[in-house]
Amino acid sequence: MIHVEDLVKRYGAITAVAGLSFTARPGRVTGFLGPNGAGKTTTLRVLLGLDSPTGGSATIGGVPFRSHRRGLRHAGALLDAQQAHPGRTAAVHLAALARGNGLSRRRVDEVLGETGLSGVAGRRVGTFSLGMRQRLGVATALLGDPPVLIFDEPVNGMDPEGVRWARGLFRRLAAEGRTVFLSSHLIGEMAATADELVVVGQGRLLACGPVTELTGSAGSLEEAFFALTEGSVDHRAGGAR
Amino acid sequence: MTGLVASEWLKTRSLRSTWWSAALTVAAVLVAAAIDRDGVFPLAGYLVLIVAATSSGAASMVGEYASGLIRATAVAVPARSHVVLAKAVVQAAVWTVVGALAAAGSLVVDGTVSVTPGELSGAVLVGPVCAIVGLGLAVLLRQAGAVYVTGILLLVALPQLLTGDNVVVRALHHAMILPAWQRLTLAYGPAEAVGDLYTSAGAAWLSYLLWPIAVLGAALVVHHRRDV
Repeated sequence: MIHVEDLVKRYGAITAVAGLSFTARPGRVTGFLGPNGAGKTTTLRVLLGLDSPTGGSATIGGVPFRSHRRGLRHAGALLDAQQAHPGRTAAVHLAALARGNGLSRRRVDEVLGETGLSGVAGRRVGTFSLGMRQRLGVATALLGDPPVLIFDEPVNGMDPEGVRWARGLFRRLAAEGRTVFLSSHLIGEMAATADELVVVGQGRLLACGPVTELTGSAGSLEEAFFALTEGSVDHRAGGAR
Repeated sequence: MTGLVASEWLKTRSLRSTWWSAALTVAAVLVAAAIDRDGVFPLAGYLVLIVAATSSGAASMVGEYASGLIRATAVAVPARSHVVLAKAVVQAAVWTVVGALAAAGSLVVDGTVSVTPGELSGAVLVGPVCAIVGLGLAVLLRQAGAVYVTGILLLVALPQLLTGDNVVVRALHHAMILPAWQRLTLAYGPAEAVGDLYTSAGAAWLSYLLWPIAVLGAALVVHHRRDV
């Protein structure tokens, strides 16, 4: 369970999140949608304790993430494909994180297998393609077998086979009763993967609910998305409206 | 904590740069000892060791920020200060071993056994002291360039600039790590002959103790509070 309530995050004069509230439940894939600069990544960073909130709260399993000493059994996250040292092999990267969380070496082999990286486990991360790094990020998230999984743009740079694999994985993780929280710009991907949606713009909640409900009379999720975010797009090509 | 120390040791030993910098540092000290016949522990070699140890300690954190690994680490270990402490343990251990090898090599090259335990410890422990200071600076400054420049200015250049008879300048000079190393290893000869160019042995040990504690302490406080 992910619960965000009246969350505010300011960086100096910039307000990234301006009073956001929503809940993501177990057993569901919840999509997190919004234009660039809507505050999605900031919200995920606060949820995972990387940034501290200016106001309000963001909790995982009912507690702030930083109240845990070790995190991987409580939540797993892929925030960015750039989260491994290029000079280490995939296996060592995972083994070091596992060791610090008291997880077995066998678990490393399991997640390598699950993400299709067994064959390249001994290669340095610096030689990986973007899609392989995303898979390594997914492997990192799965390491502690956590009840809550957070993915920020997970299919960026993945080939079609990878995208399909990721979609199946997210559905399966939710079916196992986990909370899967998925941030993406790819509306088609969201329509195919998510059960629920949280739509944000300029740091505020624009809409939330089941995908079918939000799509509603707009015809497609894409049309519904543009209708919702019309007033809150910061960066639009083609000059001022 | 033992799991985290093992984790940080795995991170350290899995990078080729760890082994290269350790081997080259020992080699530099040995070469310098062979050339410099003045004292047992060669200044030029130990300047290399000071820079290498500081850089190594710094790299253990700078590498996390530069590669983005820091985000995965912070999610894996929300108790962030534990990570910094584990890194400090590993860096201190690695550079104690490197320092011991360099010191032992200096003795062999010099063909002497006439050093006191104090001189020997002063030579060995400058490694871990500098590695921890480097780690702390990296946590505080995060940007690779800023960290390395600050480290080298602080530990190597500043002591050379703080010269003269002014009481304050001399006190500052005596508080630095390099002058402490010079005093403890008697780099300029016996204390009686050198006079107040040296700090006292007690003050030198205090420098070895307080620099890492102060920088690492500040790093722990800042790292706990700051956004990653």
